[in-house]
Amino acid sequence: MKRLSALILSLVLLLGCTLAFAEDPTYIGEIDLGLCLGMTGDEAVEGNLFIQGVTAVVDKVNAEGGVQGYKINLVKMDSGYDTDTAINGLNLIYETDVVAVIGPHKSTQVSACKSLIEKNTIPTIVGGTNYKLPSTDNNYMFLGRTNDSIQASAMGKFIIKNTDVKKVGIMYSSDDFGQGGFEVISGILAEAGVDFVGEPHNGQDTDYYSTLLKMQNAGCNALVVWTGATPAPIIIRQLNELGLNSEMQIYFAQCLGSSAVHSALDSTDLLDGMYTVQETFLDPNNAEMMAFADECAAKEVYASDAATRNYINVAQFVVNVLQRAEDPTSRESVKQALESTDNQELMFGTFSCDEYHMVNHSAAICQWKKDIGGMELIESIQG
Amino acid sequence: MFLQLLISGIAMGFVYALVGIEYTLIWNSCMLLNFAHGQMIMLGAYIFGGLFITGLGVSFVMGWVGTIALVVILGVILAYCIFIPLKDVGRLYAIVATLMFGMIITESSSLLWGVYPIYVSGYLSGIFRIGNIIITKVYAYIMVAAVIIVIALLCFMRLTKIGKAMRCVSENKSMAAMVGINVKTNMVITITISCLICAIVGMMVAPLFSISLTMANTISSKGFISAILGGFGSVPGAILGGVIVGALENVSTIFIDSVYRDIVSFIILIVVIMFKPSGLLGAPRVKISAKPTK
Repeated sequence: MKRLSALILSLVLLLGCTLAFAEDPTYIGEIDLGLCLGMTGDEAVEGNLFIQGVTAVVDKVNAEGGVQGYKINLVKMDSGYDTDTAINGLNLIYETDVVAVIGPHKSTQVSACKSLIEKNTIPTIVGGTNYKLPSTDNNYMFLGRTNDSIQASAMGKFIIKNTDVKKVGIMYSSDDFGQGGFEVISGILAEAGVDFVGEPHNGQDTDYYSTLLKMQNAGCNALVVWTGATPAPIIIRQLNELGLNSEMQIYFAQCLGSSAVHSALDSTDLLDGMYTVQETFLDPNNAEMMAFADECAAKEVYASDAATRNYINVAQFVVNVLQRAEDPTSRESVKQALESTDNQELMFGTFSCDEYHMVNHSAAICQWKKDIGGMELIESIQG
Repeated sequence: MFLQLLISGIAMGFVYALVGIEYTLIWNSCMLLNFAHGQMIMLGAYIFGGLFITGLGVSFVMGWVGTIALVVILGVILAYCIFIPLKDVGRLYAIVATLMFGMIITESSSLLWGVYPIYVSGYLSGIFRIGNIIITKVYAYIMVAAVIIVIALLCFMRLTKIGKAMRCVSENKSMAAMVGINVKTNMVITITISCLICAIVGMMVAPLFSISLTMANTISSKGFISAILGGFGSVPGAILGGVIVGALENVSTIFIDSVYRDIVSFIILIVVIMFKPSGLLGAPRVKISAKPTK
């Protein structure tokens, strides 16, 4: 009896130890990674999705033993919606021992923080995608997301391939994102001899009938909507109400993949047939991607949302950099690993660092299909 | 195209008119400029969409009833705790206090319902077609609701004893008190009605904006412009001002890019302040710089 009790006790202890080790891997040390994204302010919705995406990747890496034996600690600060909060958040992160930083997200914030990033000599992978950001002056600043010019250019080139398109209407948001997209797309259309009209709009409007009717009256048979996630659902609803979605081919910026847009529609069937350019694409036929998406979904992080997925992509890239760095605890070593990035094929994109410190050049043209309830990949692009 | 834009502009104008009426009611009652209107509209929408529809899963009708009941209680509490005490402090402090109150509503809503926008599926969706003109159901309902509210409010103020007392209080609080009107109770009623209108506006515009923390920022400022255009302190003026602002800014987009539509409203504001500060229907004696009556 005593022997049996001792055996059971040993087995229980062994099982307990195994579980304890499975839940808490041993690390040789810790690496601090800064995260400066919007937790408050007008764009807190997206900011929190980004943070969830990065956190999901880091949690998974840590659960699997970390990078080169080091556990990653996220040092999170709020970048808010404005430049002041972003500068403050970044300053607070730079006072810690971070080896690299992800963020801020908005291009205006990135422009305002550029000198701070270069002064502090800490590799910072920003989310800004404005076409003015790539520069040979970027030493410690790296552009982790596909630039607007690449996305807009991919869209423009895709439109001119379609010989049915006679005249294109371009409605674009009045911010830097919209204006940059308009310049690139209109330039490609003009070069190809395709007629177009363009009109900017405010992101806070509730009535886009005027712009849509002007496009219809101008005889456009294709419409590019280069805007953000806030006005997109209203534009989609009004396009359908006017019946323009059956009259015109519709091309949307990447906001069409955002769950914020989907949840603001009565039905995603309203998106049927619309084309969009996406930074990343969740391929339902890719087992690895879908397994990862399921794993994230169990933690209520949704890789099907473009905003979340884009930062999952950035976080996976940063983990890849830390794995390649000679010494992942050294900022200079991390910077060298970032600069030496060449054709690193990750789950959602291929990364290469160029002289402008742009590391992500991937884009995908997709079409929303009602019958599959999601997007179908039309074309992958390496800008 | 002109008719299409005119109709949707007038519909939006009615929303501005309702917001203008709220400013007017609080001003007449407490001589207070309440800059937390936008947040109160947002709160009404969140109570409807966040608490009743998506939270408790009740029907739209029950959601309306529940929101109205809750907002009436909230209105009474706000009147006693915030607006009545504020009428006795300096105007600048009172304005800052309403701004801070607005921030408290925003942050509380963020804590209660999160930062993600709420969309109430199937609520006031769909369109009516009259020839080539499309009228979205939400705009049609907004126009009908606004007309009902305005008629009910005018009847209430002209035909009932409480309404007449409200008008007396807005004319002269000291005199109203001397003839036996309970000024404080009167203020509570006025503020509760104002909160109720805020909630109705919030519930009506929810399908246009989705329910979010920033949903009422624009209509709040346009409502203020409408109240000034119509004549600050005048309920019919706020209605006229709202409809003019809504229609003009929408129709103007035929001639200018829609991105500049907001400029139209602000040009109207500047012109009115420069050339007719009393507004279209406001009495010339109405001055925003008037000192609060204790």
